[in-house]
Amino acid sequence: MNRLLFLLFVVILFANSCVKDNVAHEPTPYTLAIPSHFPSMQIPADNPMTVEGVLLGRMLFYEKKLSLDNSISCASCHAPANSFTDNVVFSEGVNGTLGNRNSMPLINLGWQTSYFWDGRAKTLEEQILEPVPNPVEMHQSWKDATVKLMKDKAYTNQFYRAFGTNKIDSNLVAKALAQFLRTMISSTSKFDVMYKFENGVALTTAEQAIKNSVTPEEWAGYDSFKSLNGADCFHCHNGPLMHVNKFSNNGLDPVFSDLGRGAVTGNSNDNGKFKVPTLRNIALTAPYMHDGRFATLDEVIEHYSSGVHQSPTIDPLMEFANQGGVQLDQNQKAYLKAFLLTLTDMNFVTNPNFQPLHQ
Amino acid sequence: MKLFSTFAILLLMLVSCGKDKPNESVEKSDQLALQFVPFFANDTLHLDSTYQLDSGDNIRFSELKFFVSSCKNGALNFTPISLFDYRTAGYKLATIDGKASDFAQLSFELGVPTNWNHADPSSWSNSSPLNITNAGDMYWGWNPGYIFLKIEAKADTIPDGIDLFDHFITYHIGTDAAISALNFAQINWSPIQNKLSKANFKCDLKEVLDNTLHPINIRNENTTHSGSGEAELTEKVRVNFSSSITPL
Repeated sequence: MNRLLFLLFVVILFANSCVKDNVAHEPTPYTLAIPSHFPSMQIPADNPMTVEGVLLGRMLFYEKKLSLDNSISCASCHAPANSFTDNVVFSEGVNGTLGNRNSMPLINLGWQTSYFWDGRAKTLEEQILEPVPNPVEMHQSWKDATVKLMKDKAYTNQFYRAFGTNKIDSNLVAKALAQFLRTMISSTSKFDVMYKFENGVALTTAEQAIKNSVTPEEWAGYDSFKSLNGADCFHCHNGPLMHVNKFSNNGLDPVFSDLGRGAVTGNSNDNGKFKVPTLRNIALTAPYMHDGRFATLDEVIEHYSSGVHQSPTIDPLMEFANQGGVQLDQNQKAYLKAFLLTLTDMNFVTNPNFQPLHQ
Repeated sequence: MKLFSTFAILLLMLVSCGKDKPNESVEKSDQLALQFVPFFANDTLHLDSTYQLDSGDNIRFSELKFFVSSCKNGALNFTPISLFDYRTAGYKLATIDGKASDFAQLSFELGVPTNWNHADPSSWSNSSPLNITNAGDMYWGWNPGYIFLKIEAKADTIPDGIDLFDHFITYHIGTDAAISALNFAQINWSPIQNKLSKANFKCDLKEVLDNTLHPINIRNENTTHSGSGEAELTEKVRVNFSSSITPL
């Protein structure tokens, strides 16, 4: 009997030893500050937001141990200064390998319903599982990545605080990163004030001042953006999030070198279609399109104005494709560009809560 | 003896764990599923498939979406607002808890009621089709509000035997005046599973275009966004689509 008691004592001692440094699992619910003109965000029931989880996600976002040679982190291709993308056509992975699609900016991801240019991931958690083992990105097995993290007491402690376990696995890493990414909300650009004013949402005094600073060119660009006889952008980029959840062929090519959505669905009617991206912070996220073919906003505007190609799956909303595009004159192009620049949200890219913990 | 009492306590605890289990014999409520089945004349319509109009022009539909609001039988509400999205959700419009006998008749409106049409699109609950993240490209903006009915297609108008679907058809019907009220005196609910019945409506896109009373020539009547200069085509599409809806 005594031996049994002794054994029990030893087991309890072992179990307790897992909780190192008196770290407690008492997660604090994280309350997202949803902007007044935004819809509420749907948080997955199996990954509630906590202060500890968000902090862990932030640590992991800048963690280079997730890559094979400890050379790159998520932030390498999603840098704050570039609105959480990079400024190259294709991002460089471990050992200099290049991807084949342009890195997407990480903005307001909590409202999106598909991830990657081809929408192959349906949730943020699912999306996060891909870059670590991808040979053209971090090129490391999840097993190796989590073993590295387990050797770091800062991580074992923070995983315990966030999830009540210090046994790190890929799903918990994905959950923590997803929590952090859901906090990355951009809602304080000049456009936001224009949108609120236009839609009768109350403005603060500071916002009223911003509204008064909107130039006639910026308003004219916004009008053109929404006009069927102007730039006609609003069918795919509308609302406060400046995008709609759909896949579209926007007339980039007459034949496709990248099938995009079609490669995921196996449906030829989806060939050449890609996820419609948000236009928020568009001035910071060059180069543009899934393959980074356009280096500047002027090139993008020129594409929609005169460079549209017909193809079997082109979006019928590209209504002026027969004439190569919407045919904007020089003034209209300048106004449209002026409006697109109002989508820049410097508060978002410089938000201290989104930066590395130790700079 | 001590061992025996410990065993007895453990057994008691185990048994007590089962006490709060939900009663599995609770009966499920009756459910009703309302569906729309798009047709092209006598055939079920499939998106991206080719159909021929009376003119000989070939047409491929790529989108069919519309809002159904105030669906009810007298004072009994079926659903306040639903979005039909053929590409994403197939025939499905809405499923509710309810009895078929309560909805032997149905009335509804195609479109979004005025007081909702200009409300903040971000203020709706996440489950509402009017929430901007759900409405997506069915929302124009605060002033015109929502697109009530969206039909998009591409047509081949050159009869040379070569597939060239380069003629775009975009019918975006909306604005407050474009709401359409429909009444159906007899709804045929068919039981399809234990406790689940369904009723199908048909909407016929050939009837929309090759309409006897208001034919639409897609060659020159191919675009409307319900603007002021497009009233005639907007009205034709609205009326023809409404009249193409019949219970199956």
